[in-house]
Amino acid sequence: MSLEQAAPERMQELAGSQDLDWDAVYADQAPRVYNYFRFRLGREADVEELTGRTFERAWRSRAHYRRDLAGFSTWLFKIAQNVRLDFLQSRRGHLPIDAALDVAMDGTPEKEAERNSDLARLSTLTKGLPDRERELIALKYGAGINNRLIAQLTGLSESNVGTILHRVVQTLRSRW
Amino acid sequence: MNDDFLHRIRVEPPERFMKSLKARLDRQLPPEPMAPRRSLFRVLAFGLLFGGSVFAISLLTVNGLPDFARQFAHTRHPDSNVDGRSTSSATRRAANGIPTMPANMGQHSADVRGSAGKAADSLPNTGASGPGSSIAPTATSVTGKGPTAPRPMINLMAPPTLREYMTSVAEVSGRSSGLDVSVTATDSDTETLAQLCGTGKSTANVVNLRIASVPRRITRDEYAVCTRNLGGIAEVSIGYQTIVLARSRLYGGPAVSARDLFLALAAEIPDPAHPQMLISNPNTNWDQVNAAFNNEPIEVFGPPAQSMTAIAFRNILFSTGCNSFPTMAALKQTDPAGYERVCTTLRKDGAYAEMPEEPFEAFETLQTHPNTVGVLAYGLYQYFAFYPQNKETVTTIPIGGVAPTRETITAGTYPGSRPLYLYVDQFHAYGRAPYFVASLLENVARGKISCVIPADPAQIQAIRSYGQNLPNLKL
Repeated sequence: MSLEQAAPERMQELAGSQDLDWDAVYADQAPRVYNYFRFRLGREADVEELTGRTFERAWRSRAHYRRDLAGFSTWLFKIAQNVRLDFLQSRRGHLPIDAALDVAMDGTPEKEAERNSDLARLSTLTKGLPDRERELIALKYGAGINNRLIAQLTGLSESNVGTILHRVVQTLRSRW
Repeated sequence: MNDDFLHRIRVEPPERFMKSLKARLDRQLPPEPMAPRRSLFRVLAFGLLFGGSVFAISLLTVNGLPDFARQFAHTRHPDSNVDGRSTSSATRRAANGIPTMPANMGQHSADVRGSAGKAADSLPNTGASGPGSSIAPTATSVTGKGPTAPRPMINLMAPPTLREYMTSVAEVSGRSSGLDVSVTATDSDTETLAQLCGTGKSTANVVNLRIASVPRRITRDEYAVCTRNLGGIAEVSIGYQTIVLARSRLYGGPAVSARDLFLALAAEIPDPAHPQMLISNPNTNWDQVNAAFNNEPIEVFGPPAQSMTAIAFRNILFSTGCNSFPTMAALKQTDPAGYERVCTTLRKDGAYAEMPEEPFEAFETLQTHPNTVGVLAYGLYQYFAFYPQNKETVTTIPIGGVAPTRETITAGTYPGSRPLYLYVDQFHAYGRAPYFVASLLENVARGKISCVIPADPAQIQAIRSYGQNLPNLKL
């Protein structure tokens, strides 16, 4: 079962429970948030820091999360989006994010090096895309969440999300 | 859709990281319990109880306290509010229930009436310290007749166009300075400066740091009055209130003028055939506004009507466009209310639509509606334009042929901008003016997506270095 197929079921299970099992939530969501930032930043540096900030912020205010307003995943990724914007704003005047494509590969296995190389290639290819399309790619393939949740997070309609993603993936694939 | 190449990029986070983050989360304090949600019934019951209490207090205030209560108030709390701490300056009310200035501003009112009659009519009659007032003990103590010295206070004067903004930044600065802040609303820029400078030297008000905020520089005549009455004033530049028009690069932007914007967005415009008459705005396409434009529908997205950006847009660009019609300029003299209505009312037929002042939403709207013109705060545009890919899709529209850059804004040539200034009464300053003003400028600079471009950061350091008092303005 692919990650994407597993996600909605897992989310239903989590959202349906009266008291969330926070350990399970962490185990399920942390890799998603981690990969979301990898896709958004196009590199490994800062990913751990931003993931940490997202979870610390979410954990501090998790009592205020309202299940009747949004799924936990939607809430968490809204926090992640805000964390990323704050981070970019704080880095303003420092190193341009998109220029920093250096990939840390010290001592990593060969397979990981290959993956990181793919990440750098993706970053180069998506550099010219509008921010919205990069966000959709990161949510879909980095976070591994479904189109319905992406629609909630971006304010687009579900069919619009699907259409845009299809077009972008075709473009990326032709250049890969 | 073959998207395996994208799925392959995902990795599992390093185990060491997962464990350390989990440990950090586990060390956090337990989250605060959420307050129970109020049911509709409880909200209604609370509302009725609160409303009833307000009504009862209002009755007592208007009709006077019963004898037993008055006696109790005098015997139980002879020194209550003696230092003004428990009386919110912004909400203090006179005996007749009309919102008024702080009690010690009553002296200002009298002085203004005496030396600068033009401001006198606009000042509310406080009556707070008059005989028979139901809150007489409070008023007396605040004016300095009680046994304890009055608490220092900032009295910030602002015209309607700046009131909300100045209140928000001044309150934060007041808290960090440990000072109460009272914002006095005036009717215009001119009246704001008249109130500041018409007071004259009065030793009764030395506890108040008096500051006027205006969206223009002081004139020589006003300066002469200020120096004559107060001995001197200090001038501080807050920054520049700036509006940007933006549009997708797909269509680019027409070179609009303030007049074009008025003709495109006003609810009512002068009839081209009979300029003395007003008609409902019939323009639906840009080429109807100006024959040089393309035949495209007028679609403008802008900030919510009551936001500071929208107020600034109406005052800086919209009113300027309105004033370009001689009949409207004349209307300002003959029918100020009518002028206000026509020159500040945006059309509501859909040509102007509100959008939230949020970077992602604002620019997504512009990207997905390439025909649309966006009215944005300068800070909001800069925030989003930080991303190179966004600058490639959205561009600014010059106004009157001038593009919004820092150079054109500070030089005063960009029509969508105006400077903001503070003027400080130097006679009544008591040593904390530099500290408060520097704090206020810092708060202005924190508004990253607002329409105010903060002044040079070096200015804040310079102000702090002045120590006790700001230097006098020399014109």
